Amino acid sequence: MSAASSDSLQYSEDQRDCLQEICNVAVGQVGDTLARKLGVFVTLPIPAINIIKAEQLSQSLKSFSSSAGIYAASQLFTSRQDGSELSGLALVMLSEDSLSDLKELMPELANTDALITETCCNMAQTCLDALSEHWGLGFQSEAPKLVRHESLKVVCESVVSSWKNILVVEINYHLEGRAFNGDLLLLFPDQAIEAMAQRLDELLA
Amino acid sequence: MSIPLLICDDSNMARKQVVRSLPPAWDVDITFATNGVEGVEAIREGRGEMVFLDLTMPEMDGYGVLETIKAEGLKCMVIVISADIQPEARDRVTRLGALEFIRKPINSEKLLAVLQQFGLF
Repeated sequence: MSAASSDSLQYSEDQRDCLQEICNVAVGQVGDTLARKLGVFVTLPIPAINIIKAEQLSQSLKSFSSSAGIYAASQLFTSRQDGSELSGLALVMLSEDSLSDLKELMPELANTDALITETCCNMAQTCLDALSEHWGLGFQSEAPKLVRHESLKVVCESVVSSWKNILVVEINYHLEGRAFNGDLLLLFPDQAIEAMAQRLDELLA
Repeated sequence: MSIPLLICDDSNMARKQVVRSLPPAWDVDITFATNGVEGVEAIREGRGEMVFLDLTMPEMDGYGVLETIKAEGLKCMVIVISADIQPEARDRVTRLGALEFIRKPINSEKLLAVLQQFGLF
């Protein structure tokens, strides 16, 4: 590897496949959580996993450019180990239709904000917990915060401003027979990418 | 005589995990498929008397494979190995004719228990 490319992290094909499988298990756990809370069957997606340059984030994310009416919540998560600290960001984005479905399926939650933050926890928290088991980084999540659609970019960019690379995991959930369309987006920084690479190599050995 | 065993999963790692979980003394002739379309082809060719089947796959998913097996009356025994742990997923695959459902990640204890439960090993 040349010195010029050392700032650019990428996984080998084997590492990528291994991470995909780890993510599949996490996707399944989120599906199960949603299915139990909402009482409907969740169609499980194949997660999209990419490592991108931090400056490419805005243009890489389709979710940012889609039409208005998106409800979103973000959840910062942090790992503190050996005196160092790394943070990542989870985002949950819901379409207008998703919110109607959630209102109908969780009538006990009276207001829109509560529906969004509860769904953020069900999706982001469950996924992070499942991934943390493998990562060994012990991510601790902060409480979810509501994000206005027009602030999504700003919120992301403020978190990733000091990163070189971002591991982006995008998972798009649907509920069977309903219009619900929810995106879970996880952003991990350089140190987490490197830590996962080591872990993947152990699993592949 | 070896049993024709088909392992159908889009993940290379998942296929390896299944192989590593097989009882060492089990006499099987293994074929791999990376999606449901390849899986159905292999079953039609008689290479999947026993099938370990993932659910979430590109091209054709595991439900599609089970439906095809049913529709074409293909002779095989299917054990689903999936990360889709919704109770409804298990119900659906057993209704479609799968013998059993094993939650990912697979290991040798889980697999042995299921094989013994059905007298397959």
